[in-house]
Amino acid sequence: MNKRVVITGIGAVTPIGNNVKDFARNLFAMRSGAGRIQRFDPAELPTKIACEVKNLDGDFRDVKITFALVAAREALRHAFGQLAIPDHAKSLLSMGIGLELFAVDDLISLHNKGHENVEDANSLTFLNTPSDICAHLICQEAKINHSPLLHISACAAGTDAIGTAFLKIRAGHVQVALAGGTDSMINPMGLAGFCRIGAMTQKNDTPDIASRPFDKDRDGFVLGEGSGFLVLEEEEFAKKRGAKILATLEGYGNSLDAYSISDPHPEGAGALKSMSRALSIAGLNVDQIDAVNAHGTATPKNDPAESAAIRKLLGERYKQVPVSSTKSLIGHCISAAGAIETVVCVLSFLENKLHATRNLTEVAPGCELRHILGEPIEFKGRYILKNSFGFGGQNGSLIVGRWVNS
Amino acid sequence: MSSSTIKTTQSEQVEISILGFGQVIPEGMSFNACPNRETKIDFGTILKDRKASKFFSKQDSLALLACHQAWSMSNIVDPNYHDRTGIYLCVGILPFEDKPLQKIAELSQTDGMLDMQKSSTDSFNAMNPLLTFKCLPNMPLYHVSATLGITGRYFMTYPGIPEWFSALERAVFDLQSGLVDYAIVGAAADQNNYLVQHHIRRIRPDLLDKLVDVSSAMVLTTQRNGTPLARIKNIETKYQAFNPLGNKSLLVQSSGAFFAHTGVVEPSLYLNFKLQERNDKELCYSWKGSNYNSCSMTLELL
Repeated sequence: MNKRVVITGIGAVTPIGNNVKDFARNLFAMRSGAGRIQRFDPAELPTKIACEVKNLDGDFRDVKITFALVAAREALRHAFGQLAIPDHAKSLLSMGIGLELFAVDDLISLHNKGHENVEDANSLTFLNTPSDICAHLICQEAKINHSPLLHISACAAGTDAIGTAFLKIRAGHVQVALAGGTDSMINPMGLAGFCRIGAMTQKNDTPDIASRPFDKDRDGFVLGEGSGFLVLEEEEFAKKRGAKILATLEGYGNSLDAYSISDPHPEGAGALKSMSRALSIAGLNVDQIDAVNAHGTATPKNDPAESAAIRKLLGERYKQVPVSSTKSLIGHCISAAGAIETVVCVLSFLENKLHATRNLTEVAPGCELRHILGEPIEFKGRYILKNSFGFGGQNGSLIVGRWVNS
Repeated sequence: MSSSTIKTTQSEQVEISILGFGQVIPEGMSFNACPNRETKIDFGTILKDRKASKFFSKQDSLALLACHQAWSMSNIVDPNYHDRTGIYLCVGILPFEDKPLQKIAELSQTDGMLDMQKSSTDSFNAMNPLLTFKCLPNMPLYHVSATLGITGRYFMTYPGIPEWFSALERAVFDLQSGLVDYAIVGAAADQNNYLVQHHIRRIRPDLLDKLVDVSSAMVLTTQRNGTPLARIKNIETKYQAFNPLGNKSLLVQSSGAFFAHTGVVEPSLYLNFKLQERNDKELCYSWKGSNYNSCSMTLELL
């Protein structure tokens, strides 16, 4: 007998708010987090803008560790009123995480002096903050006693992390999961790497209108950063302890494109499979999907492929089911994207609103869907489909549900 | 704080057997010796398009070769395998090719300090765009899926032995849940490179002169067709949260099963070696980092 999975806590660090309250306010006010990069001088790099997290200090030079700790703590406090998960709960951490910090200045020190001649290699933060440190720190704080599940499926990692936690609770393996993702590629090497493959926008003079998912004038994504975490619980466990339930998690599916190293399948074959598998696990009919939070990166190839897949999935209902892309506001947060965007789905139920896709003024050919344009719309629907697709053809989809006490 | 033990035993669940295995190791490597530290990468006839090899990092190549071997050995003829197979991979500490790294360092500095003007021009222009594909840790998933035509489920993780067990447990979960019928569980460790050497030097310097580039994979199934080599009898993982900043040795694991340090590949490579020997009816791999952090897997030979 499968268990039902509910969401009882959310936490977020984003380019438009370092906690859920600020994030929600700016999200539904449709504020953009983009601007010229402040953390370092991008100099002559083709892209000089990003959606950076602002005004957040932390002990770690690898900012994604700080992001994760802050967002995880907020989600835990939200759910339990404290950092530690109750002792009697079987719990786990499942998180999507990006590459280790690639600090070019540290690389230069090592290159010039050599491994052997660096006086105190430990003082160098270059590779001194492996991503698994972050997971164990969170497990220690939250008193989680299950080996952490780390997901490195790139842009799908956050969604895969939440989906995996969902499966574990549903199967009765654990009762509580802290699930989410954290990432920052806003460093000289990360930015240069994405620039080199032509994946990012070059609208440097107009950062706030640069991220244009599904728009005919889109020219690539704006890099974002941040972290999102959710506390997932087995429904009966949450009810027994008197938890306030925010939403439900109904389904998860993933798939491999096996198509191209850089491009999604043009008809969205892999995307369609991950969405269909999520529906199948949820036991829902496609007609029950009321909205879609799209992957929507604003790259020339993702958006039409995702649109094609959504149209195939929804059939004629594609003209009715509202679709939006959170990346139009906060950029592409890579391994954290799916997690933050799942927090957005929960906020949509709590606020009874769906945000619009900012900067979408003229829908590009092939991207025809019922896009939410301009302002947020009222939303009373029951189920939101959330997509995340990774470079190299890894696709993850979740179905988030409105909490209805039965 | 208490630790937790997660056990998967066959008695209560659907039986899972091993159909095939594959490995890439340096020539002459055995449990007790590793006379050659270089691992030969040879795609043979695996790639439909030989030019595709330009996209492969060493880690990608290691993963693909081991998975391909394991898949071929499994001789799966099921026409539905594309959607009914999952890929579950664990890679080691993230590598980076030496030459491009040194070039980036050389071209990004003035008087020993980072110079973004130079970095964004000289270094940027010298960067091969393929480098981005090569340094993404999820790319082994792409190469294995595209080469074998697999469109089922996946799980991709890193960087150590406990994480390989996470991948294994996920594969077992998906098999037992009926989400897939076949699972490729693989591990790849590209360790002879600047970044990994730097990492090991800081955390486990005693392993530095034992690093090898290795990979290993096994194909699991719940299906009754084929000729299984062994069945999974037991998987056990034990974890207690620890402060990683004060317990770095728990972050680079080794049971000492091999003379060479095989990193994340150790568990599956150990079992592959033992499966080839076929000396015992029951095989067990076990890593114990502390009283509270350990992993083990037991196989019964068929």
